[in-house]
Amino acid sequence: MDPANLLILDAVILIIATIILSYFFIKDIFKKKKKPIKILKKKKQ
Amino acid sequence: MEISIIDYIIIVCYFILLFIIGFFVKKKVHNLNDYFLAGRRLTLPIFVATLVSTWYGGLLGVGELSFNYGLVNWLTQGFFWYLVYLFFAFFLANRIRKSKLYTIPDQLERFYDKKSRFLGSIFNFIMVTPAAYILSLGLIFNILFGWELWISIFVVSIVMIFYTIRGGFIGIIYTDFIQFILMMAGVAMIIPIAVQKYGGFDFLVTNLPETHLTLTGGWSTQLILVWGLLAFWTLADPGFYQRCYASKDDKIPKKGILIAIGFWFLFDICTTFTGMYAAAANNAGLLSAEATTSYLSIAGSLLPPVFLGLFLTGLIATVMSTVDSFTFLGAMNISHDLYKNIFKPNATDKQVMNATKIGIFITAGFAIILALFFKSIVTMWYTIGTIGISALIVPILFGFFYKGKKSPIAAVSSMIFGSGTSLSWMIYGYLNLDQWGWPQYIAGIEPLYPGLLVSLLVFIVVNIIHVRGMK
Repeated sequence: MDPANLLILDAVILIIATIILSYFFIKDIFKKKKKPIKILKKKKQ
Repeated sequence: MEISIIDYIIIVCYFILLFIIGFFVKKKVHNLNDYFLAGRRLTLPIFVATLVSTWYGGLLGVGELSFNYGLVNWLTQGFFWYLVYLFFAFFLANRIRKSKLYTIPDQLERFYDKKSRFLGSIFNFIMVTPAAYILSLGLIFNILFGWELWISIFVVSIVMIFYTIRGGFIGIIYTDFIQFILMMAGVAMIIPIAVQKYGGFDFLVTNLPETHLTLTGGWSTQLILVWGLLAFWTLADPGFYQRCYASKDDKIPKKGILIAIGFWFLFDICTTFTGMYAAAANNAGLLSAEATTSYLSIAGSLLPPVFLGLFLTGLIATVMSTVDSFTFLGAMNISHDLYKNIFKPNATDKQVMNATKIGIFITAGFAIILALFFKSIVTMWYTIGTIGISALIVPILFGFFYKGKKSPIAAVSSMIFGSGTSLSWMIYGYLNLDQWGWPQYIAGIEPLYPGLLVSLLVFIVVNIIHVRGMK
């Protein structure tokens, strides 16, 4: 096998890994934050 | 290199996107903690994306090395660094995160005293100077748009300053994400096309000197080891520290660095072989390329419109993500380490934030002057790295790992004598150039060795004497 195929494989894995990380990045950025008001209300009760 | 209008549009869109992020990100900043460390809320994916993109900035320098010397680029710019990253992940990352500080000089004050902080801040500032990266961007723009180098540098700096000032570290994180995707996609797309167009491994074997395909590249062991020692830069790299401080919990820095090593490994293979393909094509008469700009030449020759635009944007993004982070770190050095902690301890958060904004201008201005003065990106890395490392590594490592009593005088002396030795050694070498214009150092020894050795010896001797005196 031509070792150059490993280079192509390397590039493909890099792209896939980037897509996966980007998915989790976006998920974290748009994750809804817990509402602090509710916690305060509970404490008051 | 022929660039179509669509490629230019892609590049311009990227800059517009950075402006838009800069415009909207300001509302996310509520206090100084947000501005400096994104509220210490970095999750694992955010940590990895911002670390990977920030850390990798010297793409043209890597192109220069792999074009000229081949696989040794991977050894000196990859392998040695992975070892130090591993050390950082397992032995330092958690300690840094737990200290809940802001900067490296904060650590120096924790270990020693305010004088150590002050001196450390100056060396820290030298290490984060983004001059080499600003020069890279200037060269890219010079080639792409045909602008004068100083105009290219000026335009790039304006965009970077805009979003960094407005969003601080949060702005950097958002833009780093865009830049992370672009740099990975840009670098990954060129290798399959190069293999398809030029041929497989045989093409490299036929058209490259033998040394290009050996891990040592025909370099002396000493020179390889000096580059290996430069990898210790990581242990005093403010970008690594900043991201560890900003992590959401104690486990993220270690895990994040390990994942980042995986990305760097894949990325380094692509960059090294892209430079080697450029050299081989150049030797075969299929491409006209120069070492420093070899990536631009090979991309221009191989990639169709749109792909070329994406690659060029990826190239710019790779460097841009480092320029913004380093500029911000330099500014934090000025505002947090010097202004707030040395000159005006009772400064309010607002005053510190304003000082940081002024610091961004000062850091960028200093880097621009250096970038216009130096001509080689690799030389600039080497010079800055040698001086900074020989000053900071010893006091930092003793601070973290030495359990006995530590003398502040030992730390200050070690920084002064270590960096002074490296600098004098370097100046001597440049005053005695050989017939090819290379510096000739005393006994052929590279400046980093005596610098580190003197720094270590001075620290140990002064520490023993001073600690005994304190008793």
